Amino acid sequence: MEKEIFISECERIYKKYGTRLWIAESLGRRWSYLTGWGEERFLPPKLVGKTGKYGIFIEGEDHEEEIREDVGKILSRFSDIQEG
Amino acid sequence: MRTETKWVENVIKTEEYEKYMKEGKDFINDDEIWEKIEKNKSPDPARIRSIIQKSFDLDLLSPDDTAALLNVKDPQLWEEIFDAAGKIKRKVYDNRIVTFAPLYCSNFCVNNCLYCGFRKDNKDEKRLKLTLEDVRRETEILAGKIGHKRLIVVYGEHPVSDVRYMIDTIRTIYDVKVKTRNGIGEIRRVNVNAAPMSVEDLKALKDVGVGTYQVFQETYHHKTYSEVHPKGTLKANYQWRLYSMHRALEAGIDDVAIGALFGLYDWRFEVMGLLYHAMELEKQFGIGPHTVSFPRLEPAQNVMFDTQKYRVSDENFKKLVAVIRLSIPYTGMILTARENANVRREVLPLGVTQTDASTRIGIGAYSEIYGAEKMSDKTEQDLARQQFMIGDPRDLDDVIRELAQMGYITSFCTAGYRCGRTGTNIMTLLKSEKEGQFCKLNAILTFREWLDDFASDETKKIGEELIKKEMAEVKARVPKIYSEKTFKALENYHERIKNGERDLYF
Repeated sequence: MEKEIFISECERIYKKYGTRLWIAESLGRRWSYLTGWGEERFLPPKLVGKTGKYGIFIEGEDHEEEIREDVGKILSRFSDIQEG
Repeated sequence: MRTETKWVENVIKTEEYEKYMKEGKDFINDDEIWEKIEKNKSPDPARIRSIIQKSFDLDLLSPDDTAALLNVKDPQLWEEIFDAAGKIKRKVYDNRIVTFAPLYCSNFCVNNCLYCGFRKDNKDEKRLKLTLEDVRRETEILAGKIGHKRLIVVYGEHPVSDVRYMIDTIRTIYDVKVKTRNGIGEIRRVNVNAAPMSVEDLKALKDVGVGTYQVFQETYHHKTYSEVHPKGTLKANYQWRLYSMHRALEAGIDDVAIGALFGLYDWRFEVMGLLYHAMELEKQFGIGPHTVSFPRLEPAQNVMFDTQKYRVSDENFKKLVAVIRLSIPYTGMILTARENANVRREVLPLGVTQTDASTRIGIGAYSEIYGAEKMSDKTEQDLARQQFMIGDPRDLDDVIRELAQMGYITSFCTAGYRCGRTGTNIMTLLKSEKEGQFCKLNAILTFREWLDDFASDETKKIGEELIKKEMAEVKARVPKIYSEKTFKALENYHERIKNGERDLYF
């Protein structure tokens, strides 16, 4: 349940800014796709936040600072999510 | 020996594959495959041309359509199929070819496959297993001297090379960093070719961060499978092997690779088997094979198999590669150094996306050969410690230069799996032709790294021209495909790499 809320919070951030955003699971060097929103724009990926095994990526720099801030807020609420 | 027997008894978990079977049957129906091949004999040229067009939609072809392609006799129609195969590859992956190297870690094996030099009854095989120090040394050569960024690690099926050993070796590989001419050499993606494993073992493997998990069915034909994999061995269990990818996907490994060893049975049947396997994975998990491999059976030491009966000629090899490309249009396709240079030149344009170079498959062979002073030692192969003979031992530098002359850019890209472009996401990107756009950008950047760190003067000269051409092609796609922002980011990354930064990607 907590994971579903985490995902919907991430979706809310995507809807707010419109910058492509996705969640991936960290496995050693690998990041495996979990879910995401928005169209690819062929810009460098940026990891804007991480909690437990999950990382939140965006593509490009549009609204990066605001997104980092919003992501930081939700990560503090979901800091103990571990399992997929 | 007792420990080995006990280990073997505990490997197969029948409940982990039986749950996917329908009324005790797996998804390969030998009779149905032959019926399709028979039913679609002498296909009408108009139908073949319509199937070719259909494959440009990038969805799997139906078994009937694939069977029709396999039955084409007209040389002119084959030329059209070959041409389409190349075009589909470019549509999905652009003109890049990814390179990798295999790293054989152990050749101990509990199986006794009639066609394989590693089989346990081959007493002339020198049994070796790399220590972690050996693995580190081999990786230093591969990443620091040759310039590879991705490896496929290969293990015999044996308790000495169980999943714990695999994890230790993969961790060791990832930890290696070597100073190069202008930067740092490292392996960024480790793919695994290993025996079928349980979900529990696959979960452990997943946690170390593997790239692709690869298991070849060898032959999809049940009877032949039983004949070449003797009873009482682990590998004799057809379904345990067939459902390897189901278990991998269940364990969360979302990049899976399939293949068949061509030459064990009729090549047309095996192509159909690969298609049915891809269909089943898509149906069950929504994810098709990340790559398909199509090695041809090669001579090996003390084999017990008639390699001539189902030998695939060079001409038929070209046909099967092209039909796989049309039938599973989105998949990566791997052509290896088993094939000689001439065959590789001919087959590469038919849809291949990945190839290996500087390949050595003897256990510990890289540090021995590439660490040696004498260049003449480089071509030696020691059949007593390798699975088969390789046909193209050329250096990576030579292969890259030739690829550049053929109009391909060599890519060392490993970006996708390090930023979540995996599983269902990459499937969508491949089918919508977007992955190729990422490929193009990352090929330029990783090729830049390799040119600056490893290229000979001759290759560098050709490579510089190629990079200019590739940059111009990206620019020409602005604004239709790429934005001005993308092009600026590419130029920026390219300059930063020239100045010594590494591992920048899209």
